[in-house]
Amino acid sequence: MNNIKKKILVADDNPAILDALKIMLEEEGYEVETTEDGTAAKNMQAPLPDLLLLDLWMSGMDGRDICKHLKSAAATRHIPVIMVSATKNIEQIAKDSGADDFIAKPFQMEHLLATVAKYSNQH
Amino acid sequence: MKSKHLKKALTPVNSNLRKAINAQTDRTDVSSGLIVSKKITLAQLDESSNILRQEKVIKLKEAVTLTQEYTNEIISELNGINEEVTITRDYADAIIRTVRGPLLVLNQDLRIISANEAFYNAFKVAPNDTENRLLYDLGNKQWNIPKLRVLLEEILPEKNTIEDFVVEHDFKDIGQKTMLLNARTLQQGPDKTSLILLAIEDITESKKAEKALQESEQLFRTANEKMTTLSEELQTRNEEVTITRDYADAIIRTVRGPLLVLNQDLRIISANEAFYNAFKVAPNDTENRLLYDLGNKQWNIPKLRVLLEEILPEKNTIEDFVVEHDFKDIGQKTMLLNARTLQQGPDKTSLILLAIEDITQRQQLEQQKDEFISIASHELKTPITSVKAYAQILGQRFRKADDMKSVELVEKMDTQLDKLTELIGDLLDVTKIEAGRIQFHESYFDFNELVEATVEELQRTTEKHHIANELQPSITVYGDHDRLGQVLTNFITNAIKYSPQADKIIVKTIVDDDNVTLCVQDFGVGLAQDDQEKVFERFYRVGGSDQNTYPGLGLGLYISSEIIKRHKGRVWVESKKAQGSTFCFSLSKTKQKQQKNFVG
Repeated sequence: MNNIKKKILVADDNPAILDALKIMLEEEGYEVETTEDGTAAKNMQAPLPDLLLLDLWMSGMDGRDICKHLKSAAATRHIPVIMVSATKNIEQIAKDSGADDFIAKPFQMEHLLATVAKYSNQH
Repeated sequence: MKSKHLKKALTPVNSNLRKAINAQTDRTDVSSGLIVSKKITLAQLDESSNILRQEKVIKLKEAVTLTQEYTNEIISELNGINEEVTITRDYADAIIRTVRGPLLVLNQDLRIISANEAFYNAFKVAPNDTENRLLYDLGNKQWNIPKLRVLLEEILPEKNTIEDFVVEHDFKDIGQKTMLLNARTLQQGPDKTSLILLAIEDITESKKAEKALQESEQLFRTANEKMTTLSEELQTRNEEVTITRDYADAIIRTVRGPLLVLNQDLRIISANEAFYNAFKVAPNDTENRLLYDLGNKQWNIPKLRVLLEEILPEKNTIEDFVVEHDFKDIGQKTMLLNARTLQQGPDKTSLILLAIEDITQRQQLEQQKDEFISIASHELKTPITSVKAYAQILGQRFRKADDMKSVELVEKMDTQLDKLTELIGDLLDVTKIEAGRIQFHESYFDFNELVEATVEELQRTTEKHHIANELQPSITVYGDHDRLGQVLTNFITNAIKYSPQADKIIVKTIVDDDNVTLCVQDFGVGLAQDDQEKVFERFYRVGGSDQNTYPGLGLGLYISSEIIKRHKGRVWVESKKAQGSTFCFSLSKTKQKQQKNFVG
C-alpha cells in the first residue's frame, strides 16, 4: 500500500451494510466514505474517490443510472465502479451499465477485498 | 299413384253399372213400367251401396299408401336418429375432452365412474386411484368434506341439481381451495340408473363468477321435435337420444368457460353464454359470422390465425396455447386456447370446438406473486449480507488475536449464513419454475471447463472428501452455463452431505455420438428403491431414521431436474442402500443443435 491511503466511496441504502463495509475496508487500510444517498454518489465532487462500491437498488435511485452517468462524464469516467447487489442477474446488469466489476450479496470478505485491491491499485 | 288406385277401384263399379243397365233393358219389354221402375230403383239402391263400398276401398287403399309412405319416413327417420345418437355421443365425448374444468361422473353410491384429465391435473390424483373409488376416499380421504356430503347426500337427491355452490376446503396435497360445484342427476339407460355429473371449478385464483353456460339448444331441438312424432317402436332409441343429448347438454351447461363451435371455414355455428358474457358480443352478431370478423374484426389475431389455419389442421388438437391480444372493447386479454377438430355426421364435415379461457387476471396475480417473492428474497438477503460481513470482521480479529477456537465458531456461523442464502435462492427458483418463468441465458461453452471450475470451487468446501475428475475429451455445449453449474453443484454438495463416512467422490463425463453425460458418484448412505423414484419430486426428502441427520428442504434436486428438463435432457439416479448413489444428467447433442437453430 502506498503512503497515501486509497479513498473508497461506498453507496448503499442499508446502514448496517455501510457500517460493516466501512470497518472491513478501514481495517484493510483504506480511507472510507459512505453515503445512503444515491444522488450524492451521482453528483460526486472533488476530491474524487479512487473507487466506488455502488449498490444497485438505492432508495429512489437506480444504481444503473448512477453508473451510466459517472461513466459518461469526463471527470469521473476513470473511477472504477464495482456494483454490489443481491439481485441474481447482477453480472449482466453490471456489464450493461458499464461498471468495471460486480460483487453479489452476500459476499465473501476475501473476494470483496481482492476485488477492491485490484481496481484501486490500477492508478 | 292415387289415380291409378282410383281407376282400379272403379272397374268393378262400372261393370256392375253396365250389368244393371242391360238387365233393365231386357225387362222393360216384359214388365210393367211400375215393376220396372221399382226394379230400377232397387238396382239403383244396390248400385249406390256398391259405390259406397268402393269408396271405402279407395279410402282404405289410400290409407295403406299413406301408411307405407309414413313407414318409409319413419325408417329414414330412424336412420337419422341412429346417426344422431352417434353424433351426439361423439359430441359429448369431445366436449368432455375439450372442457378444461374438472368433471366427475359418479353413480348413486357416489362411486366414481369416470373423471376427465382436468380433474386429474387439478387435484393431483391418478386414474388408478380414482376410478371405482368412493368420492370421499380419494387422496387419503381428503375429499371427505362435510359440506360436500350435505350437498351430495341431502340437497342433490331432493333437487336433482346443484348450481354454483361454493365449497372451501384445505386439501392436504394441494392446499386451500375454493371450489364452485355444479352437479346434476341424470337418468341413464333403459333401467334409469341415476348418474351424477359433478363439475368442480377451482375458483381459488380467479373468483370471477360467470353464469352457467347455455349451449345452443338448436342442434338438439330439431331432433327432439321429430322424435315426439314417432311411434312407440322408436321410443327405445328416442330415449337413448334423449339421454345422450341430456348428457352433452348437461356437460355444456355445467362448463363455465367460453366455448365456440366453428365449421371448417371458421364460421361460428354456435357459442355459449359464457362466450357472449366474456367477450361482450351478442348472439346475432356472432352466429354464422367468420370468427375473424367478430366485433369489428377484433378477433383477427395473427397468432390465432396461425393456430387455427396451420397448426390445428395438422394436429387436430391445440392444447393450452396462450394468446395475448388487445381487444378494442374489453382491453388487453391473455387467453388460454384449447381446440379440437371433430368429424361430424355421415359426410364427415369438420367441426372445430374452441374453448377460450380468459387467464388475464390469473396471470396478473401470478406476476404479482413473482414480483413479491423476488423483492422478498432481495430484502432477506440484505440483513444476511451485513450479518455475514460482521461475522467475517470478527473472524479476522480473532485470527489476528490467534484465538482459533473463536475463529472456528465464527466460520461455522458464516457457513450457516451461506446455507440460509442458498435456501432463499432455492425458494425463488422454485417459484419461478412453478410459474414457468425461469429464464435461461443460453450460450456455447466448454463443458469440461464448467465441470473443472465447479469441482475446484467445491473441493475448497470439504477437507474430508477428495473429488476426483474422470473426464472424457471435452465438447462444446449449448445451454445456460450458470444453471447447469447449479445442477452440478447440487449433485456434488449432495454427494458430500450424504457420504459423511466416505472420503472420495467421483465426477465423470461420457461423450458418445448422441449425448454428453455427467455423473457424480458417492459412497455414502445410498437410496432405497422407493426413494430413487421420488427423489426429484418437489419437497421430497429421504425419510426414515436419517431424516434428522440429513436435513434440507429437498428443493435442490427438484430444481436440478427442472433445469435439465428445460434443456431437453434427462436426469436419473442409480443407487444401493449403504453403498452410495450416482446422480447423472445427459444432454442430447442433436437436441442441442435443434435448440440452437430454433433460438438462432
